[in-house]
Amino acid sequence: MTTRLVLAAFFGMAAMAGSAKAQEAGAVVIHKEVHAIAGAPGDLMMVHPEPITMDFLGAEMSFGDKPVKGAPYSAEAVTETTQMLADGNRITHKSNASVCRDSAGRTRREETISAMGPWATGGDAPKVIFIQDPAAGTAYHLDPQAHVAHKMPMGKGTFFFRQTGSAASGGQKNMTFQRVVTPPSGVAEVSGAMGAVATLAAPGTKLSEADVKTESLGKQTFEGVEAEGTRSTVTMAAGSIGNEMPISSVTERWYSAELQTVVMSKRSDPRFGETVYRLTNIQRGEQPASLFEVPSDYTVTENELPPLNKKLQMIKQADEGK
Amino acid sequence: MEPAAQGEAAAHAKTCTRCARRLANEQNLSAVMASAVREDSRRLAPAAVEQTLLAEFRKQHAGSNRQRTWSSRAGVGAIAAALIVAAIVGLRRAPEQPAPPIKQAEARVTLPESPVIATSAAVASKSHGRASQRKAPRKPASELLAAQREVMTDFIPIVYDPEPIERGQIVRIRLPRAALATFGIPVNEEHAEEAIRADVLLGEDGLARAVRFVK
Repeated sequence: MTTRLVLAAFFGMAAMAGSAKAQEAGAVVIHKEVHAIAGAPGDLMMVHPEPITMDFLGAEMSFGDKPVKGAPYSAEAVTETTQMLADGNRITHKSNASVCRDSAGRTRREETISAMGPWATGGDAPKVIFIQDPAAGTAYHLDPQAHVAHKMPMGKGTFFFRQTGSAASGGQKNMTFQRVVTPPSGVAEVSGAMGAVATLAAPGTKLSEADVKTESLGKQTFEGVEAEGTRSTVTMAAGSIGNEMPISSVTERWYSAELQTVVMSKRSDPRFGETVYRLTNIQRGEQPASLFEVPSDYTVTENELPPLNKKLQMIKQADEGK
Repeated sequence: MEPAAQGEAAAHAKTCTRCARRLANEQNLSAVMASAVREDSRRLAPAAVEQTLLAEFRKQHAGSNRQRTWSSRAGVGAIAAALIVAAIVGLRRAPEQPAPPIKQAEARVTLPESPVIATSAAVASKSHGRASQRKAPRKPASELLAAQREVMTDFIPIVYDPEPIERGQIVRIRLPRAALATFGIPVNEEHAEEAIRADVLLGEDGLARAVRFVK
């Protein structure tokens, strides 16, 4: 609760400053009420009366220092997101991406970002290309519209959920998302290119041993590729994030040991809806080297800040023009 | 000191031992200083040295005058030439390019979004106004970078994926403040539509795993 209050103060500082006059007069600041209604896994619930849209500003950094060598392939990645509104309406998003990897472990992902997590893109969906070469320690974010290749800082490490506490301390575990990433040299923090230097605690979710369940789903073949499935169910107790009843988040994951990648996944969370990801048209074999190189007609830039500020400026001007 | 006041002070010094001692010390100091001035006034440099110094000074002064005159004339000439060229070019181009409408001339330049944390230096600069901003020395790049520091939350999971994420990207997005409510963070309804920035952690599959909010 304390953490939530800190965060509320952090993000609401400017807003509260604006409403300080009203507070002085005895007015009460009304906070948005969140009604998260629990349901069975797979049930969909949208907590906002309207869908929240986002603007893609740019790539900040890339991470991953363990290249997958000797397993080249190309495929089409299809992601479908479905959200159910409180009034029974349904919002769906479908996006395709071309993904490939060569035998050296270099990867390329080309997609049009129409949605990210629970948020759809507000304006024109930007097309982006991510190229990653873990062995060389380089990564690029290509902007096909502007013909600019932004060289991204490449961090080393892994992101994972870390459980703190023990059964001895009341059987509760505080599960928060933690990173173990070695920042790129010359970068002060993980997102040093953006000047990040400080962090605040985020609301962790208190989970007991019984709240996290993982079960095997056996083996199944997708597009001619055998994969092993697991289902993880995380149940957040009532009151974890202000919810009146428990919230169940279910993740099904089918992993191919041959390709060393996930070929299909299905995530259901009443807060964000359902997301289904699958690889189709999987082609095993070496990929052209040119796919993993910056095209010669692109301008390479290493400083991420100016393009981001420029993008912000364009969005701001567009907003003012509305 | 006026004679009347001087008389009063002398009379007081006769009755006050402390002031009498102080007066005597000051009179001694004045006498020593006057003696030193008298002695120094008799010490003069040889006439030959003075003549040499004067001749050298006049020589250098005349040279710098000539140089200044030449450079100022050249500067005036260059400016005049530039004005003539500009006038000719302007006259030639005037029929082809009509003057921009007033609306364009009044168009404002929108600055990039300012850093989110106001440093003490920035606050001080604002409080001193424009004059102090003009006088402020140019800050080194490291200071400017420090001024653009951001405060952010830890990553908050969007999905609870038990598998570690070994490869992926962190991208920056902009979204309404109302999005905070999804994560149990209270949102002021009056400002729910205001934009905030966030970093989204994408896995190798491009799916969003976690988000952190940036200020």
